[in-house]
Amino acid sequence: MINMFSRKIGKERLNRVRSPLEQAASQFKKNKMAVIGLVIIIVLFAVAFFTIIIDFVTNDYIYNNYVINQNLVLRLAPPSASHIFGCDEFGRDLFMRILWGTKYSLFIGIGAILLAMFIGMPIGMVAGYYGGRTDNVIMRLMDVILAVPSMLLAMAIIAALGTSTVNLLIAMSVANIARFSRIARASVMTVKDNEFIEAARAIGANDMEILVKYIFPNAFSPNLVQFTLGIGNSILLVAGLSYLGLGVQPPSPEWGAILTTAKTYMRDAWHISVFPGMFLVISVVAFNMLGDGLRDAMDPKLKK
Amino acid sequence: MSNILDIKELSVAYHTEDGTVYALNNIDLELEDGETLGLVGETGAGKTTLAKSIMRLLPVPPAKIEYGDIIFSGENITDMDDEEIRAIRGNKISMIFQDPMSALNPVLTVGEQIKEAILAHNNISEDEAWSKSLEMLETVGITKNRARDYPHQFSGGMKQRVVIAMALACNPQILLADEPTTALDVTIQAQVLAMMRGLKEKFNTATILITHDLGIVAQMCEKVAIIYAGEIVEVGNVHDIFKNTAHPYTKGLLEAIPSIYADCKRLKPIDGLMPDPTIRHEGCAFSERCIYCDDICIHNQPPAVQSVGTDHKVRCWKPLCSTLS
Amino acid sequence: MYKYILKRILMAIPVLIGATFLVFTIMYFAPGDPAEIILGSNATHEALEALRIKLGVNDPFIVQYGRFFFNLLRGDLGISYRNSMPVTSLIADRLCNTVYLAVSGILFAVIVGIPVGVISAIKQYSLLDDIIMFATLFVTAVPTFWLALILVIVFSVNLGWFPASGMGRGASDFFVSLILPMLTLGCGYAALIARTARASVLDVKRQDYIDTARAKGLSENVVIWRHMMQNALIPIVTVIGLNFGVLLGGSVLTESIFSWPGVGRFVVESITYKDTPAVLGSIVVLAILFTLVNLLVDLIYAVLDPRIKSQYQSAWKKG
Repeated sequence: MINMFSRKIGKERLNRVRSPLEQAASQFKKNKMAVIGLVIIIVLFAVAFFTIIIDFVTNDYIYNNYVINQNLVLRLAPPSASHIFGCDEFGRDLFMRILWGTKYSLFIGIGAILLAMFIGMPIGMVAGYYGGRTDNVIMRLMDVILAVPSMLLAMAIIAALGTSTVNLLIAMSVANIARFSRIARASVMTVKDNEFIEAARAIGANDMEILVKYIFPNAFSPNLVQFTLGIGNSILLVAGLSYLGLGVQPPSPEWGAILTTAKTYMRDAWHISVFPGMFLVISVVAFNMLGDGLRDAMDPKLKK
Repeated sequence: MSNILDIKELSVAYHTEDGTVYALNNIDLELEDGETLGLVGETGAGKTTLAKSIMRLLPVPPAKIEYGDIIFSGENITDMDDEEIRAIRGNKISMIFQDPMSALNPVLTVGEQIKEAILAHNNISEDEAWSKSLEMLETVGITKNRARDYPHQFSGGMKQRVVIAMALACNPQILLADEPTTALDVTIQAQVLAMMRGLKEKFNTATILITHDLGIVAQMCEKVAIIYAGEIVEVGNVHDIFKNTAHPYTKGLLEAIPSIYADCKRLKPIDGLMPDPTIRHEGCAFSERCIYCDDICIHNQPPAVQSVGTDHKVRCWKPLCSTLS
Repeated sequence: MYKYILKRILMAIPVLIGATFLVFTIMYFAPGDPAEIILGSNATHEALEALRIKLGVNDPFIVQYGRFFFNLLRGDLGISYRNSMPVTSLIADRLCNTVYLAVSGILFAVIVGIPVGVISAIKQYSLLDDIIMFATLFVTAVPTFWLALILVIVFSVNLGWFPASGMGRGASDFFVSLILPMLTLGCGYAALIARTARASVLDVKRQDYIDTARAKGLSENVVIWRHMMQNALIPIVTVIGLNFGVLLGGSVLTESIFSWPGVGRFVVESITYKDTPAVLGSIVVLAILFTLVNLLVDLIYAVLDPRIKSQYQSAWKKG
């Protein structure tokens, strides 16, 4: 049956040549969930940028007066017309806090995994390409990192280095560096022995050229999928660490940080627990849908 | 001799999101008791679909038997329910698949897999089934003490022998062999084919041997059917097909075989590709690629079975050869 | 078979040693003067210095690590800065609780996740499949601690069915208070297992040997359970093992919310109190636990897949 389709596609190809990118894009469009995910992500980015710009333009006026300003009269106020998500234990409007918290989850979440990919991919590519001793040593190191559950590793690093944003990024990327390097190494090893690499060497390309021009494009796509799927976990990790007080520090309204005190007040103020979490879920779902869509678009075997 | 299998006007289509694929169009085929019929065609012509339709192994959404009848041993099996068809599968009609490397379950021993086939259709004890399974292994040339080994411990050729043993374990009346030696290298291929010939003589199983290799057909088959784009375009005994070729496509296939003796510089392939299976064509399916093509060929379907000799039928407006007086 | 296990254990040991070195190195940079933490900032300079020498914190790095490692081999994880008790006993008291929680989480995840994934794969393209796929997508996006909060709000505060924290007294209390934490920990894991199970069954489903099994005339039930499942379980088991580390991470958050007296909560407390030996000891113990679970997974893997078993048996038999 597959043969019949290849015959049909063959006919189409005779009529019009589509680049792999075009094919992937059209497949992607057909995947409605991925598009919804993309839309949500765009909205989130818009909100994040919006809050950053406002802070910059108003010189933190809004931030100081609406986001971190305490107003004990409104303490634990439930959702109402003027405060659609209610207020927290310090009387701060929850809706504003959640809006202003978007940028932390997005940028730290994405930043951490981007960092991990930029460091992990080259490491994995080198290990896979050179093989032998280099490969062994590097992979043992990665194994050591992965032997410690990543949440605990991140916590240890923060305990040691302190709770700044940079430290947070470092702590979050270490485990992912190991993961990306593994994936990159695996794809390099499958491509490395292909004949076109030998051909490239035969025309005089040196190692660096081979790595960049030939191996990298092949190693890239599984990493890309891992990247988008990993953003979701990254966001959850930031939130988790902030919840424990090890991530973004109060009064910054990171969504996990908002939830830190939610438990104490859960009997009277369910809204503090519910809303920040909802935003976390929506963001992560959006990135996961995007990641699934990308993966399906790039891997024809998974099509229906 | 009576026909053990009679296929009449069989049409099968796959209904998918991307369109409907007309896999088989109006197939007529007869198989006599004990006969070996070669089914020859290009990849995508519908050979596997035909074999699977007989066993009702097609995945039923998307596939559907649109029309036609499959008569086995006088009984119409086309509309049988699941239980009835299962009693036939592996028991009266067996099938072996193309790739021996993946045809066996990697986590069960080979003896176990053969025993399973036996127990499915015979009400005997497990021990009896096990010893029968050992016997089958010996019949295909594998020593009994390998019965407790796993598939990955065998080479390709040995695996295919196991598959054949499994298929013949219940002494079926028909064996459908889907390109059984394509995945093997030539020397092993010869061994397996020789073994199959021996088994055929011993058990007298009617066989449909699906292949794209005309050399195998010449060695193994009494009758040959050529399938193209879901239709049988020529059928006849092996001598007629090779010497009195009637259909231009068959002729093209024969000419495409490289010959050691011929002094030529280039191979002679058949130009073009098989037509798009999602479109029902108007005239003859082969018309686009046929060098003898005429107006009538493009616009009219050739008559289904036109006799050009004893038991030699062709589907063509302008058959190349006829032994009829 | 035994050779395989032995080989795996031998490979795991250097990695574990490396892990202890890694965690030790990280915690070495933790701020705070142990002597001050123990004696308080009002202590005299001499007393502080004496204690520092006694604790060995003035020694070079490699000496300190060596000491730590040899003590580790003897089961001694040092003394807690917070209450001067041996870290080993502090952890030992709490380890069982973490294990109970982890095991119940895994059991829940496996009992729910595998059937859901298998059904989804068998009924591929149906509405049920779509619903399950969407549900699992959603559940894996839920933060553990938020799920805990919501569960507590709904089932503890509003419905009063389960306690919001602690372990209670006695066996029945124990099981009742285990439910919510188990659900919290297990749900995300279950969704992941369901997705993996589905992908695995789908992959096995289209293998040739499934066609062969049907061609033999076997009933659909036999095809599914005997032929598909054992093959499909292999990647599922691998995923369960690999993600156990995530489960341990999740237990940190879960134990904190439910005040469940396990090692996870202990780590958080110790970090807050800058109790470096306790943090170090806990993380090392959890890393060992993780490695042991992975070894167990390797063992199960070898049992399920005869291709692994025979790699280490006597001569390859060539056909």
